[in-house]
Amino acid sequence: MGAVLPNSYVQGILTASLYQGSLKSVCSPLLNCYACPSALFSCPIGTLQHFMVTGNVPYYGLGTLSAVGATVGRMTCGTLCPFGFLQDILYKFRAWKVSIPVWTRYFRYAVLVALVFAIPYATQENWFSKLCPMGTLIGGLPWITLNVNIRSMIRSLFWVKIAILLFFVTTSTLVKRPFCRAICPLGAIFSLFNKSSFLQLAWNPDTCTRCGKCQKICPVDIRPDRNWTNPDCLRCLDCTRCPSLKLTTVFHQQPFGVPGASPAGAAVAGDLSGAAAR
Amino acid sequence: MKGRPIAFIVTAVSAVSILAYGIFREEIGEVMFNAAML
Repeated sequence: MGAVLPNSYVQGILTASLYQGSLKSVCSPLLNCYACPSALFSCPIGTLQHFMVTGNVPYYGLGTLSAVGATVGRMTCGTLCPFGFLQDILYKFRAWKVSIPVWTRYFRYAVLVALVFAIPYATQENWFSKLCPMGTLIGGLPWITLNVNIRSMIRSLFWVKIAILLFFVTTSTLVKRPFCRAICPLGAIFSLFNKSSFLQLAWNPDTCTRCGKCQKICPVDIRPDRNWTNPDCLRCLDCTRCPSLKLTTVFHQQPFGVPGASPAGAAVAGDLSGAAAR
Repeated sequence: MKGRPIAFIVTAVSAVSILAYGIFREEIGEVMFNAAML
């Protein structure tokens, strides 16, 4: 749905033109390139960069992202983001699987500060957009296919963009969501809200057997039973198939009821065996 | 855990205030113009 809905301006592909209607004033909470011929909404990261390039504070863009983050945390990354969905599909390919260290998460904050705020402000160029693999995939490549004039404008930067896209396509077959975990500046913004967002993940220590199957099905390879407000958590809710984890709200103090109120026999350990084999 | 509802309310009010200020500054028009002029 996240891939189709924001890119449903089919006329743009048929006529090789950009949608210029009022919906383009809305920043979608997804990494979705607004240079894509079928894009209906604006890219939030492109919008932030545009305001930095013009020397202004992006109140509208930051306010939109903060409002979404305060409500659902990183849930749009886990449920709607088209580039995240692509990485999930690529990881299903049979290949040698590796895990990346936790400290790589800090790199996405560096990307946010450097490539979205500082360098665009200093150089007056949208540097993240110039290198974004999602922009290459749904913006650059369709335009080169549709428009001969744009094809003649290809320079060395285009091949750098292709190399970056190929790097993430390849690594996505080996590592769970490498771009989301280590690079995505939109994910970096939303992850700041995971601890205080309205929607929260709740964990029940009384029923959890610490089997670790939640980590096997987690698209970012984390243990929700160890830290259920982890900034890496995408709130995809795959782990809530286990009865020890559930979606709740920040106002719910006892999401699993009063401890000890249920009979011991009713404490069902999470059965994620079917999901883990997925 | 008990501080989280307060943290949420503070965050939500701040987010809506920033968004409202952005709308007041008519940034929506600039966002649309930027997206249309790519």
